[in-house]
Amino acid sequence: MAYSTISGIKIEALTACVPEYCQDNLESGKLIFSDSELKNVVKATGIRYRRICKLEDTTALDLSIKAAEDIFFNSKIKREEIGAVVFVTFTPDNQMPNNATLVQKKMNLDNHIPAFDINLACSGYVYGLWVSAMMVKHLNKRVLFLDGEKQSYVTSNKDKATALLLADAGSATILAPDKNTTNWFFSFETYGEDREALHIPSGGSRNPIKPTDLDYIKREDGSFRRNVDIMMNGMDVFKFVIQKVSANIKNILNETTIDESQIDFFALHQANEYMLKQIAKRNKIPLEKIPISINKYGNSSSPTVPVTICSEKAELFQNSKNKVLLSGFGGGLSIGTAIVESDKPYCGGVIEYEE
Amino acid sequence: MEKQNEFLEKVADILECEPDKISLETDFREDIEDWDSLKGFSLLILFEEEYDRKMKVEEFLKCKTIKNLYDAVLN
Repeated sequence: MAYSTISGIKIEALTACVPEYCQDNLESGKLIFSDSELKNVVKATGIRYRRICKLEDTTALDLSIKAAEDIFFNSKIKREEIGAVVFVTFTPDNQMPNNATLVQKKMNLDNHIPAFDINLACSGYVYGLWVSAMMVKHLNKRVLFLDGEKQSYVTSNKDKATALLLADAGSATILAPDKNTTNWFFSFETYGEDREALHIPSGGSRNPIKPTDLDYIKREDGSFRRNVDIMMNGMDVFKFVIQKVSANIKNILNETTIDESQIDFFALHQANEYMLKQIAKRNKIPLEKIPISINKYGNSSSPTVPVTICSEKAELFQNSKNKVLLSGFGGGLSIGTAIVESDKPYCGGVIEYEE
Repeated sequence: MEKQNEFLEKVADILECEPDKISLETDFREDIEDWDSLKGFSLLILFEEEYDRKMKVEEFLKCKTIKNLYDAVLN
């Protein structure tokens, strides 16, 4: 297990942004499920509504910039104070150059700053916090960390494994130096051998897109999906979450000798509600300490962590000190878990992007 | 008999119902009101962790009743 400890940083601001357009799974699911199947799927996954970009021209970058602008508009932080930009995404506007440099331009940030992307899926928010925290320490400046995904453009609405699950969202977090804070703890695990459990087969340099990759092909389970769409092996991902992620959370608590009772809430990646309940059961975490936002927004990959804090805990986060365990897990397969303490940052909640 | 009851108890826990609501004859996909594939995945993990029996999804799909599962796992 890889552990990392960082001190002297604080979360200064956090806002999430979702598309205004809301899809009702009980409607869209009729394409692939019978009425009774659909009812059970929605009940088990806990996902009734998903937010997705309606227009082709809206991207994860737009959602994340809107979240960042909320922070500059409503908090005391000024854009001139930003010393670096980190953008976590696997759905950037362009394959080259990256999203972070476009953020620097669109948000009129200083030219004399580093700006780069990190390519990660569901575990990305914790990785972004980790890298940003290290940068805050080394630069002694504020870091603007954006985490956003537009999964809807690589999701088939006729894929039984993903169609009622995946969503779009963006977020912005600002980290700053602060000598008076307690240690933050991080733990990471990587299972590259299971990467095909959750992946996009075509579109990278290994399998460049061919015209036929854009055809909707009938799959074994009756689903229709393109080779450029996200494909998920439900059983493999399920097993990974129930066994590996549950153990990872247990291990970081043991390693840091922090008891579950000392954690104010667990901001977990919103894979689906059933899996979150299983993680809770295995770690004996009371369900009320695991906020759920997937019912309203769907699974937007790594942004579900900030979306959940902003949706369910905004007031608590903004008005009191909190010890929070954050965990992201999925595509890679990859796990990132952190235990951080926050002290009344600005929290803009979940704002909507109008198209 | 004890083995059977223990098996039924563990399966009932995953199906989120009382053990006396199911028997070996239960057709879990049809008779369990809230059946869904996530519960199926959970059963496979139960078999692996508690009975050291790795069952493939294809094999699981051929099982209809809880007796089919019991026989596949314990025999």
